[in-house]
Amino acid sequence: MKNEEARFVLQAYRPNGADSSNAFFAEALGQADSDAELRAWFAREQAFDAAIAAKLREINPPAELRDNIIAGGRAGMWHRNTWWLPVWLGVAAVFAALFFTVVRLRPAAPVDARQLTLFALSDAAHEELHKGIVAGLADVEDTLGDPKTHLAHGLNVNEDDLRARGCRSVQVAGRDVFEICFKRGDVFHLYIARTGEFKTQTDPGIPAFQSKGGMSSVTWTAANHVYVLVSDRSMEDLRRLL
Amino acid sequence: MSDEAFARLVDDHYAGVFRFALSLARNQPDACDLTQQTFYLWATKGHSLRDISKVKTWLFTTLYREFLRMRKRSARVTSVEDLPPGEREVAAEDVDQARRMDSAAVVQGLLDVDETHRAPLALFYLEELSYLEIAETLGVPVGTVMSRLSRGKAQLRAALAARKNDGGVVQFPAQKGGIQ
Repeated sequence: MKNEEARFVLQAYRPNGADSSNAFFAEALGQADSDAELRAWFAREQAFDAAIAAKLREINPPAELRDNIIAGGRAGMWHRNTWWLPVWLGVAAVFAALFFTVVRLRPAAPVDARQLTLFALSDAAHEELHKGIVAGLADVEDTLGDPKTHLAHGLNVNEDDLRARGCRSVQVAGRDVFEICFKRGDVFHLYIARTGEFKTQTDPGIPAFQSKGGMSSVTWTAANHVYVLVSDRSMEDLRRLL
Repeated sequence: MSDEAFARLVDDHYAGVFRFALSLARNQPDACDLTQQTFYLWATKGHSLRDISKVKTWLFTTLYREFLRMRKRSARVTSVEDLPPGEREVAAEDVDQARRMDSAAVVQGLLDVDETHRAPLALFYLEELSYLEIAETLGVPVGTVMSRLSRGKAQLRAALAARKNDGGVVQFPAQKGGIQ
């Protein structure tokens, strides 16, 4: 190694000795040991560098800088640690919107028809709640009152038509239920609901009888509707109407 | 990273980082901004650094990049290769002069060195990084660092000598706790 090369290497040697174990400088240092001129140059170079480094170390940062860094860093760490917060809030909002959209658009699960039956048994026992014979439904009531009519196969029900003709409607478990009173010897109450909203525990067409509080009921499904027929007569009397 | 760990990291490095920032920006407000920005970036992105022993290099590298970004808006690009080589060799009087001058004057001399050479020179005199780490920090080959150091030192000696010839009047007002 020529002295010029050695100088080029040694001018990068830190004056604080931090490079003493760096093999990169070993050959140049060895050459400086054996070459008086190079050694003298290196001594001056190191002295100059040490003086400059010492002067630089005397430069102190402004007093408030440290506190500003700490405060800024904390804000940064908070931001880093909570970067997910707005993301998750956004995700949650999307899911909430989807949930409500699905809930609103999805057909509600059908309710156990036993709720409808229990309601009908209770409701029919209170005559004061009923409209009785509705003029607009005279033809329907006549049909229902006809002994030749069998209800097992249901009726040709048009809900809008029933509503338009003044048929009584109530809500059971949030679902619309129509009720028609008719006479066939005694007074009977027929409750009509959609099959998509109430589900019987028996197979379609298989009637389920029940009595409660002196009232009897029979519940069955035909076509698109669930029917509950209620009377203060016996269950056998109800069976004859099916 | 906890608040305590971050504070320790700041205590360990912020003075050196500030000095390097000052040597680049040449004024205290910009140096403070660069220093704060560097630690802010550490607080937000430093967790991605796998080798914790590289913190110091990461800080200096980040600061340098931030400086380059800041300067880009009004950059005057100097081709290093076009600059004259450092010719003036260190003399005994240079050493005496450096020892006698106050720190503000020395820093001002350093700031007189052109920017391309000032960055490796400042890192070298901070004694925080090896020539290899300086190369990594500045994103240049080792050989480039060596030649920039050589030329930078020559420029610094010339700048200090010029200040001496000017009567030693240094327009570099010192402030309490820092310089500007």
